[in-house]
Amino acid sequence: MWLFLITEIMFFGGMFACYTVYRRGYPEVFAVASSSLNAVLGAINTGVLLLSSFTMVMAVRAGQLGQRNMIILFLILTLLFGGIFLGVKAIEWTEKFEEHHIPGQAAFHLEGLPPDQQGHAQLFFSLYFAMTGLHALHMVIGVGILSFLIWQARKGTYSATYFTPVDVAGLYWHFVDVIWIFLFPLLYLIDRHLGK
Amino acid sequence: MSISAPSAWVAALGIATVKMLLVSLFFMHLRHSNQLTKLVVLGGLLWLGILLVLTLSDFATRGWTGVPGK
Repeated sequence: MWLFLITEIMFFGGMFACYTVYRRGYPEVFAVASSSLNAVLGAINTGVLLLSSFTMVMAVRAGQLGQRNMIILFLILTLLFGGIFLGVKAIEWTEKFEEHHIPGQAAFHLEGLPPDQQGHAQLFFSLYFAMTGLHALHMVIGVGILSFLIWQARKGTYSATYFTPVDVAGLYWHFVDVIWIFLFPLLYLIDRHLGK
Repeated sequence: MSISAPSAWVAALGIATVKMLLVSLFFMHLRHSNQLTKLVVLGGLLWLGILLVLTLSDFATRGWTGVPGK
């Protein structure tokens, strides 16, 4: 799983590099576009994911101790927090639709920027949707994996001597959390001032 | 603080790095993993570092030689 996660670093790394290059190229436009994102929702999501990572750790610990009911409980809690994250994401994306911040749409317009910089603003939102979209896809896959684990745990498949799938799924889940830990400041917190 | 102030994004990325270390070392049990695992993860992060540093240095040195496209 660690080796697979390294390939995931490569997968996301490409987009982080792209983001870095274009943020360097258009710093003011990116700052304006970033401030149109809802940092409160983003921060809530960050907390939710960190909480879900904690419940995942507790699920792995329950696996180590062979406590079937605790495994199920903590996996369900992790699933719940993952679902909350995806729900908040859906709300954020809906907001973007309503504000006409979808890159490529004819009615795209970012307030506070002249017409010749609207294209650069669309670039920011392309990166925003691509990166958070890829991350959300990984979350959905993670939710699927967790559901499978819960089903297996209920059948009594896991014990103190065999809980490897829980352990390995935990690694995947933590990794997706780490990706978001970097996505949040890079996308949401460009040139934010406290109390803005 | 303006956009060009490095303190803003240095602080934000610094905090993110600390969070990443906490999650990877403790939640992912990297602290108690064998040396090979740690080496693999370090390798992956180095790979990312090379990607970012070389790509950015390419863009940062555009126009230095006065030859078109370099």
